[in-house]
Amino acid sequence: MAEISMDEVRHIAMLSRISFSDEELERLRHEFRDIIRWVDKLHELNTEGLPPGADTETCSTSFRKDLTKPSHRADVWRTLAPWCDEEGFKVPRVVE
Amino acid sequence: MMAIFPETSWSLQDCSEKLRSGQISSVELCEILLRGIQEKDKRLNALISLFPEQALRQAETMDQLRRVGEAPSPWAGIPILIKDNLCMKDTATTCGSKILEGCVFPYDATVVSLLKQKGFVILGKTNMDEFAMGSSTENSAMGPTRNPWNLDHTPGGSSGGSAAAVAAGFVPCALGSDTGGSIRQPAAFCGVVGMKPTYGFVSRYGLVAFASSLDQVGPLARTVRDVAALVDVISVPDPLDSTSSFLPRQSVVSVLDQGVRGMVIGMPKEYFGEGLDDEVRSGVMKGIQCLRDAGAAVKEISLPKTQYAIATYYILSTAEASSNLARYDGVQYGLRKSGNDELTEMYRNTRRLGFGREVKRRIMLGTYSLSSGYYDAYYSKALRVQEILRREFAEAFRTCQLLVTPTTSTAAFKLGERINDPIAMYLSDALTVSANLVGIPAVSVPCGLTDKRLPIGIQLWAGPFHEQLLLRGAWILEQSLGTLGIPDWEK
Repeated sequence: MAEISMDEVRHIAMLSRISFSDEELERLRHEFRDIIRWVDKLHELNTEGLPPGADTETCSTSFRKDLTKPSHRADVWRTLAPWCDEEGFKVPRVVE
Repeated sequence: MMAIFPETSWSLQDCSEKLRSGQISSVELCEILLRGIQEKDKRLNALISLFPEQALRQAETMDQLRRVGEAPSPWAGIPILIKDNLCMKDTATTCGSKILEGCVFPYDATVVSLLKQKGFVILGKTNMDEFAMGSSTENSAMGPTRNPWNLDHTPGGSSGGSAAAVAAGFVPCALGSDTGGSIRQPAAFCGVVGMKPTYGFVSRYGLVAFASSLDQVGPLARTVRDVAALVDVISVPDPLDSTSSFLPRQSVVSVLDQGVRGMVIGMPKEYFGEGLDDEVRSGVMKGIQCLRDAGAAVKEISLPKTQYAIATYYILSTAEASSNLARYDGVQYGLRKSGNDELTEMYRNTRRLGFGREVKRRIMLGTYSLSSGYYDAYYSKALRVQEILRREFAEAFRTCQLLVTPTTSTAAFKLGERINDPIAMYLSDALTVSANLVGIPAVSVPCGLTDKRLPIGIQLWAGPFHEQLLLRGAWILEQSLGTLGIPDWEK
């Protein structure tokens, strides 16, 4: 994988939910090409039969009792939102 | 060089002793350091926020408690700074990003609670590459931090604000976070000690996530003993972080002086190859000789697959970042940029305006490697290479107690030198990322200056949860090489 098309970059931008100008997308396409060539180095390694790095030595999920505990108050969190009312966060209308 | 106010060169231990003996009060100490920051940070830009009133109130409380013999710890009343990706109740957390403008989260990160419980006085929050993505602190929306050893050079990153502030004598110590070297690389560039603990050793609750499987909080200070003392404070099992280890913790500071006699220390030859600056090599070799002189057997080993670490890191960390940063969409907190009253347009415009160039690049890269058609070729492949690296390091630690390498291949580079070349910038982390991919602890200790008076860092690595061994080695290095002191950066 050495080349990446403008359509692919546009698709990734859409999935990333970021708006870019055509000029920015073109620059990203070039940067992507170089970075992808660089990370393609990993394909030199044979990883057949290996599990994806599951770290069992330093990290195991710690379980705790399933108890109800007080949490941060919803009204405090709502005040952080750019647009809210007493019911919740507000966003532009999605359904007509 | 003697600092104008000797207090600026005091270590955590010095501050504790002088507060205990009544030579200075916490209010006096905080006032001196706050004044220093207010006067000098205009040039360094190491801080994003400063809380003078709040800090002095806390210092006053600690003085009162000390007077009646109820100081919560030997560290009560000592000033500290924290990186601005750690939440602190009722203070802004920006992560160096415009997208979090105005966000004041209503809770403390666990490490912040632990500092407060011990009586530390948090003076402010330090500058960083946006969302910890960078190696120079140039990716901050609040402008770059400068290196106190030479203002034309970067302090490294992403915890560049914490490293520069400690090096400049603003505070004796600070907290940073390390996802691929973000504590150790700036510590090396600024001539201070910086440590990344084992994954799971320190709680990440309240640390704004960049790459959750790699992020760790850790300390920076001017001495190994201070770093060890801070590790003891912040390494507490935490039910609020599901990756927190519940293994019993043993004091690191209490075993520091046990030395390295009889230890086998591996010197991976791949870290000393092409691209390593001659002055860095010579500084690190001097450090290695000190370890030998202290009774360790240093032997050359090989970690041939570490050449793949940096590419692995940039696939895994960007994939996790693309997912973690999906939450910044203008709905729940921070910036919102409306666009034609349409929801998706609002997300896209908010993220366009709120994120800087590097963060957008990494979100795009991460989205690419997780997307249909490329997942197996990149993300899944990188996870398998990570497993190869884990096995290679586990094998090395079967015969070695520690590993020793340079922290970086060069001393601090100049501002602007790598900012337009992402791959050159990414390679700044080449000698540090494996510790994150493998989940093990590592520390950078100063080992001299280049001819241009820029610091050099030597890095020690240990097996998982062997923080005690790690800092015993670091302490030997410091005993032999000394500390670098505060640079004369105001000339």
